[in-house]
Amino acid sequence: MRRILLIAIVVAGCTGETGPMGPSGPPGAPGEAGPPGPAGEAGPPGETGPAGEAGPPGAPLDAAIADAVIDAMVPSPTPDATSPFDCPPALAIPRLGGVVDAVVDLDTAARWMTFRRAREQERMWEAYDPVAIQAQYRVSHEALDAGCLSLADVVDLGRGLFMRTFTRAEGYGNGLGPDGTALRGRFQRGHFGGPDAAACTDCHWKGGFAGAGDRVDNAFMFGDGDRIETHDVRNPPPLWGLGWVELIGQEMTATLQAQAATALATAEETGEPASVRLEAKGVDFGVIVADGGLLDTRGVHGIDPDLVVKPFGWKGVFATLREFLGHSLQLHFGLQAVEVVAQPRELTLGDGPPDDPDRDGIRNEMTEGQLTALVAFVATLDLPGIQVPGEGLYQDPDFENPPELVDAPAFTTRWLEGAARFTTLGCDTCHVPFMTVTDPVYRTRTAGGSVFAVDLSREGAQPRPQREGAEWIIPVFSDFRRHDLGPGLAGVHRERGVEPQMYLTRRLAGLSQSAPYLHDGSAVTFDEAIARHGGEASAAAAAYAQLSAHGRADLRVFLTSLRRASAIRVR
Amino acid sequence: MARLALITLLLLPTPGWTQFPGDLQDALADAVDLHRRSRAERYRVATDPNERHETLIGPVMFDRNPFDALFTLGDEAFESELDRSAGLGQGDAFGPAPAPARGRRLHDGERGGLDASSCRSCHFVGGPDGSGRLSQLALLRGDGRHLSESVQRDAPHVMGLGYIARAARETEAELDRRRRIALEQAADTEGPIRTRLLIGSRDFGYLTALPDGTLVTDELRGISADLRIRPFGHKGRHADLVSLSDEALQIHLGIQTDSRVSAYADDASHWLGEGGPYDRDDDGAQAEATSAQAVLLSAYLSVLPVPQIRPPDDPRLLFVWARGYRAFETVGCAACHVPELRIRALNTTLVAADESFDYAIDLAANGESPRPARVDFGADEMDSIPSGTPIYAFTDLQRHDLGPELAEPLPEILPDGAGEVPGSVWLTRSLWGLADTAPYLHDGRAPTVEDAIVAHGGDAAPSRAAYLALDDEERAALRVFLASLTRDPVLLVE
Repeated sequence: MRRILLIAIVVAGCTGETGPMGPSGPPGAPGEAGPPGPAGEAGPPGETGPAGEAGPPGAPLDAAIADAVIDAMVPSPTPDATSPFDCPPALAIPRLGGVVDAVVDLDTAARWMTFRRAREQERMWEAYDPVAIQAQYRVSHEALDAGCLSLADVVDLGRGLFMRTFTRAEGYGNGLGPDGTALRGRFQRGHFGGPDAAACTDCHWKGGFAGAGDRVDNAFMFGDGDRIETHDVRNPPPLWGLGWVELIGQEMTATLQAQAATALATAEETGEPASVRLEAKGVDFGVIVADGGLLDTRGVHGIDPDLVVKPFGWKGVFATLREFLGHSLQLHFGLQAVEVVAQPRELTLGDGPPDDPDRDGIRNEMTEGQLTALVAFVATLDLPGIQVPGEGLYQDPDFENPPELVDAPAFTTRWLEGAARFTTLGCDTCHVPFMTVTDPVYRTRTAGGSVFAVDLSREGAQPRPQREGAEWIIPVFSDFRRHDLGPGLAGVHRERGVEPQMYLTRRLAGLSQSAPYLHDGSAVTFDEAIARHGGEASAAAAAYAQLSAHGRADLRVFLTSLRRASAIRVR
Repeated sequence: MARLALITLLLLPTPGWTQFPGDLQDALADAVDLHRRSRAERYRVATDPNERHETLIGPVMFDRNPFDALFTLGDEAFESELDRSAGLGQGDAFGPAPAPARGRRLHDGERGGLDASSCRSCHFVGGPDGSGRLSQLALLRGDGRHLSESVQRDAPHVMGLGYIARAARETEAELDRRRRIALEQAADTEGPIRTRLLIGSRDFGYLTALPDGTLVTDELRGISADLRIRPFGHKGRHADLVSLSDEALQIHLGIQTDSRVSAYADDASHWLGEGGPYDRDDDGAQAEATSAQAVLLSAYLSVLPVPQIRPPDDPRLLFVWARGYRAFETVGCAACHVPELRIRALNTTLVAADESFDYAIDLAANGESPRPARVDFGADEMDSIPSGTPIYAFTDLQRHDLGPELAEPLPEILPDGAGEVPGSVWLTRSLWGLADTAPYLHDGRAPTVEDAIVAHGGDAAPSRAAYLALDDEERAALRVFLASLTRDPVLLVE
């Protein structure tokens, strides 16, 4: 495993030692994580520095633009070469040892067993001394910036937080209830939230670790906390492969921003209104018109006027995992991350003092470093793919014995038929099967500009996407834009300006392990889910209904093959 | 004496860890096989002309199938994601198939809702057949529209229930024996006989038999007047797993068994729905399940493994943990959360709700591992510790008044006509497997064990006071002990 720490901030002299920091350094034990090299080596802020080596040969233009766009969004950090930073002691939490591939082998099983036992021990230690265990999960972003933690450390910490049952002492819940504490609110209130869960794993469990949620896990959002019809219902989607998803979104954003810039430049040059077709990765987003330094976005479709692709949330309202996770911590647990308190965006945080808006007496409920770890864990999860079927069950007619596993080549041929149907029916118009990524380095940034980067093509969990030339091919089955699905699927509220019947094309990656389907988890079967497609998708849904029973079954075989690779979990 | 025996047992190494890695290989092979089967089943569903999912309706031949086959069927029934063709949902389905059955997260009275996809939906935390958490709270018996009108219930784990049921039946048999003796004596002496119902350390109060054969039951403690033990449901609602399964199928999934439909025919609109006699829940599916299916689910639940006490590895913590068990007794927790119950016979009989048949299960032969084992404790001087099969469920199977803080505004009316349970009265929760089942208490209001202890009032108020009077170290020790009430690991391939 290689670790790439893309640090624009350069900190010299960690714990008094200096050593070579390069991207090829071994992850090693936490204490051994090398301190960053001298400031001179890392180059000026904003430049990618050593991480550039990890990209594909001849880094493509899109990636460069994406970087430029993102750099423009956050202020450049100020290098501070003078303040020394003492690394905290090594992480003492149960660990799986960094990313875990979705594979089935004895080694992985043994890792999980050991991890499970360590968590059991930790639970007893936490019963003994809760404060001491909670402290293990507090890591500041300064410690990450200073290179005190290896990628394996960061991912283990993120996983620990993902599995953690948060407690009041860590900021869970709020102090706004009638008797001074509120620890439950199964229906969320407005943009304030519940809490309606105590751990990420409560609602992301189906089909595997960090998977989807059941119907019972549906979140009831943006309502009055009591009357069910005031809430929008949201079924928890699976979280696999989201690092790649964010990268696709970033590259599309960069393309669209460049096209808008072209329109502006043309308009300025010619003095005439300039109209440019917006298209990114083959997806049409309408037309933008530049006129006298202003942009007319009335012709823009499927995306906000800011031309930022936002691949997270059923409505497509979050551009980054970081923002999405920060919001989720508030809405589901009442955990107010430092950077969310600093910049709440649409959230309601409570009427308490500025450093404790939810009045639960806890400040700094989650550090930027912890949020970075959580993001890094989710971003490095494995990528779901396509498993062509070949096995079936044979049940003897008398039910004398349990069904027997047999080779079933018929499934394979039906899968081929189904794959063809997916295109002929027009499903692939919106559920675009493959998207490409040119720069596989995932970066997450704090508001202060600290960057944590990981090359998903080398360090993400297996399976990873295939590479073709300079591009990685992601089987994501989405066009990353919003569509009108008709009044039948309309929700209650406008969410961040998105109309009730507009939805982001749901990624079909990991589909077969993430039933029930649709934003409200109402569809148990593929037939039900397809039948509810209205609006822009009604033609494809009607075409599906017109098929013979056999033809429909073929398509369902194909959909069933959209799976996450088999993986081990010990519970 | 009893305490010493318990401590000795707890110190025995727990199986599962030491048998690395040969057993790990076997466990992995089993998990892979299960995984391949469920994946193949997904493809069978995909190719079914109507995309019919697994169904509860299948040939269940209790007389012909070996138990292993029934267990597999029951396991599938527990995990099956059901669809409309199996009768999923009720009432407000809003169109012909394939329109989905509309969910109803908030239950509508006793008719329930559609809030889950399968039994597993709410019983997965901590491992298979585990508990639910805050997000899985059941929101029962409300008006279907307001969260505030609902009764909130945390989903408990479902391990070891067969042994709990067995302990309940044996306790009932003993109470019944005392009742009959009292009645005989009352008839013989032609005067009232007041008899104390003390079974081991468990005090069920006094029963008075009158010469005319009637019973005075108002001095009973922790049990309904019919002397039945109802060990399931936070209020002590169900006496047996069949009735529990039967009700759960309807209120969570909208699947009605034929026996349920006929049992509640007199007050169908209250219990079943507004539909006609062949489709009471008015969802377009008739004959959704038979009483045999509820028995099948119950058979599966009966043989599930029992949770384990897994002591700390670190010797320092081990001694803290041992002190914690002592504190558990001195504080008075053990008075209601009775650590050990003994079972005389390891078998259980499931009776179909319509009493059309019954099915006996030999738990010693068919119980999943780990299962309780019969122990010969030897006789002490008083011969007061009979041999038997100990289970460490930490419950007395009785109800207690936990005071106004935990009380609900309304009593819970028992479904079998055995009266009601007042708002402040709760069944002693069995603590085995506790560590995996946060949040705690009937409505999940307590995020931690400590929160739960402090919320105890009423009959348990003295224990709460005793806990709060402990010094920090002793309180911590008690929590460590409770955190060791867990379960063996399960390897899954998904």
